[in-house]
Amino acid sequence: MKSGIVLLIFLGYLFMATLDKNTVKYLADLSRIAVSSAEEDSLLKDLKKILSYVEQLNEVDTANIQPCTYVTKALTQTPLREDVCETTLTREQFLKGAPQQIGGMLRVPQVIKSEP
Amino acid sequence: MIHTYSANLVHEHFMSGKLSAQEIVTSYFDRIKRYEPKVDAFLSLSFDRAVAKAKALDEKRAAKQPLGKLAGIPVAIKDNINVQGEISTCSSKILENYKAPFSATAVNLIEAEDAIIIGKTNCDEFAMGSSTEHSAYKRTKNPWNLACTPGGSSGGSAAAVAARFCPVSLGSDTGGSVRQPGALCGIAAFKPTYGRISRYGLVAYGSSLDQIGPFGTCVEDIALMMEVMGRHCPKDSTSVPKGPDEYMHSIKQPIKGMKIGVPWQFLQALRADAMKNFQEAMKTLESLGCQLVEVDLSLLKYSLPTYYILATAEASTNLARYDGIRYGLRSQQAKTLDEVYDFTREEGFGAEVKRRILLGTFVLSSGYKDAYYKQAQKVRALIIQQYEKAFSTCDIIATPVTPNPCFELGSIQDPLQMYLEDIYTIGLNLAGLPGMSVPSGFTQDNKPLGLQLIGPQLGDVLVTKAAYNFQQTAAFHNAIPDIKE
Amino acid sequence: MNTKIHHGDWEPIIGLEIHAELNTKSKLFSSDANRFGAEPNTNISEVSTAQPGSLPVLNKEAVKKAVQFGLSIGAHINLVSQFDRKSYFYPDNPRNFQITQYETPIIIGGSVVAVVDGQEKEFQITRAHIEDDSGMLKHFTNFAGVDYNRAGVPLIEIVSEPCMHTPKDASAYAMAIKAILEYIDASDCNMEEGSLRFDVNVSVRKKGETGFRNKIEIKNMNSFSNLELAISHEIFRQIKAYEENPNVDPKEVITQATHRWDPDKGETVLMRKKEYADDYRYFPEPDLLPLVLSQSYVDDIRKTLPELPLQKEKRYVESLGLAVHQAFFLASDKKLADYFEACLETCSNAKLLTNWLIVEFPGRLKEKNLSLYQTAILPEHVAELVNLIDKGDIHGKIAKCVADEMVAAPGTTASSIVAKNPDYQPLNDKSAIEPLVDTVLAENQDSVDSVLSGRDRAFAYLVGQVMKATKGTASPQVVNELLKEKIAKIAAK
Repeated sequence: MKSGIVLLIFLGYLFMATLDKNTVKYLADLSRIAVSSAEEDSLLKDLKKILSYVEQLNEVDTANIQPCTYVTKALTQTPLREDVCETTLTREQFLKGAPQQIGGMLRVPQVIKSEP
Repeated sequence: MIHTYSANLVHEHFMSGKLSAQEIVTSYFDRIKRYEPKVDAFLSLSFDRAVAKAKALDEKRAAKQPLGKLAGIPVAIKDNINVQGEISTCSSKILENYKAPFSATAVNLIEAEDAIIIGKTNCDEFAMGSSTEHSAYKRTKNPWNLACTPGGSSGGSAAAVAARFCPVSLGSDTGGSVRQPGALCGIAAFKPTYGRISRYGLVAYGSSLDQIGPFGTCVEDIALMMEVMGRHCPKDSTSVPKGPDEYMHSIKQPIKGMKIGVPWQFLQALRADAMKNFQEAMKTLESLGCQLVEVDLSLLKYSLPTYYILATAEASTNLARYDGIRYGLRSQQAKTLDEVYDFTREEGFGAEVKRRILLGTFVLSSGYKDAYYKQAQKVRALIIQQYEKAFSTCDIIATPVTPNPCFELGSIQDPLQMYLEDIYTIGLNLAGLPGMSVPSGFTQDNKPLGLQLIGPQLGDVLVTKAAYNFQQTAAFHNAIPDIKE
Repeated sequence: MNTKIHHGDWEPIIGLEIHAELNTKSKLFSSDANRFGAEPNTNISEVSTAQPGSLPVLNKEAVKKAVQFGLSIGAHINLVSQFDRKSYFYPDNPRNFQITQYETPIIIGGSVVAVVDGQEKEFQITRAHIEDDSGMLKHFTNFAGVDYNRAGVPLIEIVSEPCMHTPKDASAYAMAIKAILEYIDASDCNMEEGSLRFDVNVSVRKKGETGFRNKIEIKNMNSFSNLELAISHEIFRQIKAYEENPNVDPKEVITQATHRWDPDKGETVLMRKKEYADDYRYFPEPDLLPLVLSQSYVDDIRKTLPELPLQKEKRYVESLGLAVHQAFFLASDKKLADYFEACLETCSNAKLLTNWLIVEFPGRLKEKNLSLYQTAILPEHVAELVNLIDKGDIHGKIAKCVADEMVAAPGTTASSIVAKNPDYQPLNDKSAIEPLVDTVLAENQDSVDSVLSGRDRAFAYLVGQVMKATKGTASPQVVNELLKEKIAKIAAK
């Protein structure tokens, strides 16, 4: 177990070593936020600090522990809904808040990159 | 002086005819007009809507029609909770003019009981913060000390009740965002068991952690609000399948013999004045016939890192929808579709939100997910186990709410240092436990302190009962701040 | 297509991902209507447009249809399955994450049987799961429009093992899946409307090679024939690339990418390279607890499954004596099978009927690009025609003429066509046929001699001549009898 912890700390160090401006840029790309170069610097600094703080989780021995996804003891399965139709949002209501619309649709600039 | 009344008393006076709803509303709005410029609790006030509702209530009463449990009570709503037809900004630029097309279930429930909604309150952007300083619009001040923050993220709702702009308000609690500002503002504040109040209409931040929670002038006000809001909702798949609990009579039962668990080890680093206050609170509980037992919550030292991995992971996806396409802000500079996304989110989100989105994206990204996200899920399981073990030897657990009383605006710049303000509150969100923050005294410089009472899941009435009894003896909630004009 | 000749010693590896929209009344996680063809953004809700504060609640009918499908393919139903968030940004994706089942899908394994080139083949399925559909992006010259009517519609995604090796394998597999979905009424399976969509993964490798080479994903095939064309094209493209670059690392020759099938160009076009696979950052959906089913729920659904295509096919073979490939053809298209069975209510010659349903009428309707059940020619009309032939009231060529007229004026009955046209009236009166037989015999002495010396073909020729003289209306049986009689008399002389 001790070697396990050593390994984890080493891996943690590796992660820290790879957290650089490129990582920040990659994360910003994935999150679709156009961070400026200056922001990248401050984000890198903050993220490094926070990540090194959360690294301490690796101290905890979690071998054989099931990850907890759902917390509520009184409810262990998702409820099911009857297949009935109900209108709760009209087109008018929806498009009222739309930044740009055309012909009943939302309007966006032409898609240049290909779809996922 | 209406503003000194509890919500229960306001309702009582309305029902008896002593006060008209219009008088009530006018009185509170006068107070708001006078002191709100100093406090800045609100992002928007709905005077016309409130007056119209008050008028309708007065007519209903005159016509001897049945009236709801909250009839005549003005309520402020945190700006991340939807009120149909009103703007929900979540204190973010990205939702600057966004009008909610539907009301949250909690809002529908209180309006059905004839509560009077008076406005939307300021908060940290998308509920991410502990001081309300991360609002894109304004800084809310603590009515007890205008140089200090009211705490966060529900700082506006807490300040509104502390300043007696209304006797009750709604906030949301993901890591302490109701309990912490409640304590820092010297009022009663409650986070229910996870799933007890519907999340439908609460703008999601950390889905497995979020709960709407009421603020009140006293614990009895909390109880009244919980009777109305704490019930199953078919629109929220995580809603506990249970009808409403009876509070008003139950909480008045004595708590003699109740076992109070205290994690003394975990509180070792507490500052001297806070420790003294906490010990006094424990003496109060003992005087009520409670028995103190020591419990082991040592794993709570990992609750912050666990929270910051899980909450940010969930948040990074919950906030993905804010992209300038369907509603809210769309960047004027954007020419291509990619720019719509990238520029809108760059312009629309504040620094703390960006930090958390990036962190959340990181802990979920391939290569890192096992080390961070999965590990945090496992530690969460261990923390839950440790709470369960503790509850096998006690009925409720007591801790302070915060390590520090309210702090000066701008005094905490380091994000990590800010996160540490939630050290005692975060564990409850991880384990889905109910927690009450009840005023327990003041520091030497007259800053409020709060006692946190924690229950097992669905121990909401139990916790409220303990808090109510505590408050009958330690009546710090009766103090109202003297706001300098 | 004979794969041995064209693919040389290359082995194509094909896998299919099929997305079928479930035909529930409301969407997967919200109660807005699940309806095709409505005005844009009229079937929406706060959930399907991802308004702040909205939450998903699972549709029980969608779960039922998924379980029905799983049982129909003999798969294992996971009594506990979970939903996950799959993150990616696109305008038709309202939350910018899809709710899908990644780690623990509801259906594991299963298989379907299909007929390929006359042979029965079994294809294995890896898994199937439930997820929500995206909205639609409509492209215009300078902008695009987004319509969320389809956003949130329930989908079942069915992933096959990479067990197919020819384009025909793939289309047969796809047709078999479609048939099942139609039989259990889980989906409209309308490829033009998009309620049935295919993505195919194609790679090739040398025969005997273990392990798979890089695969190409192809999208945008909206018909079975396009599916086959696209796969065929891609197989050859990849083989050519490998053969033209024998000294290059195979991983560099074909790199993972997504292509679009362009039906006008008849080729696959690169959409984007998968340099780094989209990091979808899957994690469990916190707004939905696990989907938990009881064994009795699953058993009840199993008990109420209708007859499935494979069972129907076997029944056609065993009880009606149809050939295997015919039985498959009929059973694979539910509407056709229903039509066939409606005909059988008034017609008992299943084999003859089958020929008319599979060969004769489809041949005549090919121009109009319609299936028989899409016309006003009703089952009872076809049944009547077959009965007339079966009874001997009309024969061979006449029947074909009648069928032509039925197709030209759908809805007219065979009997009314025959009644109107004297040329079609069956001629069974021996006394009317006899003189014609005499004439033919008189005019074809050498044929008669050939018959007498044992040549059967000459006899058939004489039959043909008599039929010609009666304009095809005579009963071949009567003609045969008369000719035999008279030739015998001649021989006796």
